[in-house]
Amino acid sequence: MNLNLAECFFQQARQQPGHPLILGQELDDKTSYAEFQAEVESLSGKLRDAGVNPGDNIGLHYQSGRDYIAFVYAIWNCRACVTPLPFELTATEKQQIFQYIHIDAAISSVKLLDQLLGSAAETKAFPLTEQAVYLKLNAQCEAPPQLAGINAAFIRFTSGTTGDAKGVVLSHESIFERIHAANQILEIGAKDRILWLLSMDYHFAVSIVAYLTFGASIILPKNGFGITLLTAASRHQATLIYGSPTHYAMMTQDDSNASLPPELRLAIVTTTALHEDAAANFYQRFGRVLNETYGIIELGLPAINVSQSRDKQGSVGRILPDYALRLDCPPGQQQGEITIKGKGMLDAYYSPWRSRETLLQQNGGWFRTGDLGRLDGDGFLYIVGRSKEMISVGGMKFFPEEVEAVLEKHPTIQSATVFGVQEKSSWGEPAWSHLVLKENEAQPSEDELRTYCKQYLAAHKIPARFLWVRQLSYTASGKKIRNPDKLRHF
Amino acid sequence: MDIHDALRSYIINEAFKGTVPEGFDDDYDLIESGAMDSLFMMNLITYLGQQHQVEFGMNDMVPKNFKSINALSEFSRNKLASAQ
Repeated sequence: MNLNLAECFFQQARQQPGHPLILGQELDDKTSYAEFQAEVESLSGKLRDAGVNPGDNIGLHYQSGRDYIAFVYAIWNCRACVTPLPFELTATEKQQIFQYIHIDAAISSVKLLDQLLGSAAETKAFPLTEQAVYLKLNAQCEAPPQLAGINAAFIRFTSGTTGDAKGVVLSHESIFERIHAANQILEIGAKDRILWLLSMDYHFAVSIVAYLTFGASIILPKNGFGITLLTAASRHQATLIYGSPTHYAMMTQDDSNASLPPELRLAIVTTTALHEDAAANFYQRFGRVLNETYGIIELGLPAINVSQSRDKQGSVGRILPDYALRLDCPPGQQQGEITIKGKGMLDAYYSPWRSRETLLQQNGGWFRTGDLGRLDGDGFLYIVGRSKEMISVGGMKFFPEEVEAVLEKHPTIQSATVFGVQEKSSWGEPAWSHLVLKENEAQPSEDELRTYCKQYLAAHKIPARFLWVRQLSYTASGKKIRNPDKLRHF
Repeated sequence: MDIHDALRSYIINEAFKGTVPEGFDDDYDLIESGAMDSLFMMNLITYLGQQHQVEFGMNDMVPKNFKSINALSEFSRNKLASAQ
């Protein structure tokens, strides 16, 4: 029998049935491991009754929270696979996922069910809870035949490192390897209570799965206000926080006397580079450093900075024991492209299909991240450039190509680049755009462009600024140059 | 449509998907009811910035500014007035 992560959770639940798994905002709002296992098994039964079969791929169209976790584990318990359909995407963006990924059915929030009805195979939805239904879909494409050979847990839609790969396939085995590799450093166990602040559509495999496998408790606060986060952390004596720079900034700006609990051992920052001012302000307010990580969907979490030294702030830490790191530095330079090999690598890119073996053969067993890094004398890795150019707004990630494609379909726009900008004084890391006007066209207003983008793009992907330029910058090989340094840290 | 009506319409459509809960009015507590979760808050800030040029600083991200439609309207009007 193949490994199943749901069974790993059930084993943990049998060992500690009364231990709290989910902790809500209030002290008495808790769900034990045994209670949650019962919910997962009940949902699994409903899904089987509704027609879910082993090997099916189920779209998950639901907001982050305890129910989201239960649905993922119920799908896995049916030996089916999960493809997140991020809640905040527009209907058009969700349809794009269906065009590339074979999805047999979806679990959807009732509130947003209408966005999926155009793809429904049946008119009647099967109720799972008061807020969620199961809906059989008309798959719009065939699954790659090689997928049947993989014990797939997740297929995450992404425009991919190279821009042409749609979807990353992760098996139960790969995720299992990832969480054990990360836990050599994180040392998560039943003693831990983790304050969770991120979107589960983008962050689940090396975090939530690890917590359920290693017996930890997950604190789910009611909202993202600084005072709410600090209250939840103190009330439940959080030992870890897992958030984006925005969340830590929200805690820093809180003007009450609320503090962080003394039990806190790691304040993990993920999703995007941390601005040094944000780290300094957090330290000044709470006397604690923030722990940066290096997470890549294709690899997992190969580096984590668990140092409590301010001297190492800005580093993503040492490479984990189960990974090897090589910097491909040009002659005479101290920084170069980060290449990594190790456990838990992606099983395949979905469309066009490229297996892990094929990817590794191309690069002598190493995975090229496309990011630039340098090492200090203690072996701490510093990311100095993210050539993949992924943009992250409050933990929700997207690639510039997707936004550029929408902009370049506008009748007045000849070409466009989109890039993330770290603003010192702002709450997020918004996208900006550079646009080139078509000849003989009148320049549209910003409002007009925003209204146009809103038809095709989720709100967080719409550029905060539209800047008109005479021409874009290109590399010698014709690739667009994004992320102009002159616009960073302004 | 003034900013109060625009906010009311946005919140009803985006947070409640057109079906408002019992007792809903312009003082309805969006935080206590759970409507103002992290994701909705982020979308709301994006909406106010892009559609109404209301710019949020980090010090503005406090519950009192997000508590209700009336609170959001008052905050937005004050921000726009101080920006002029």
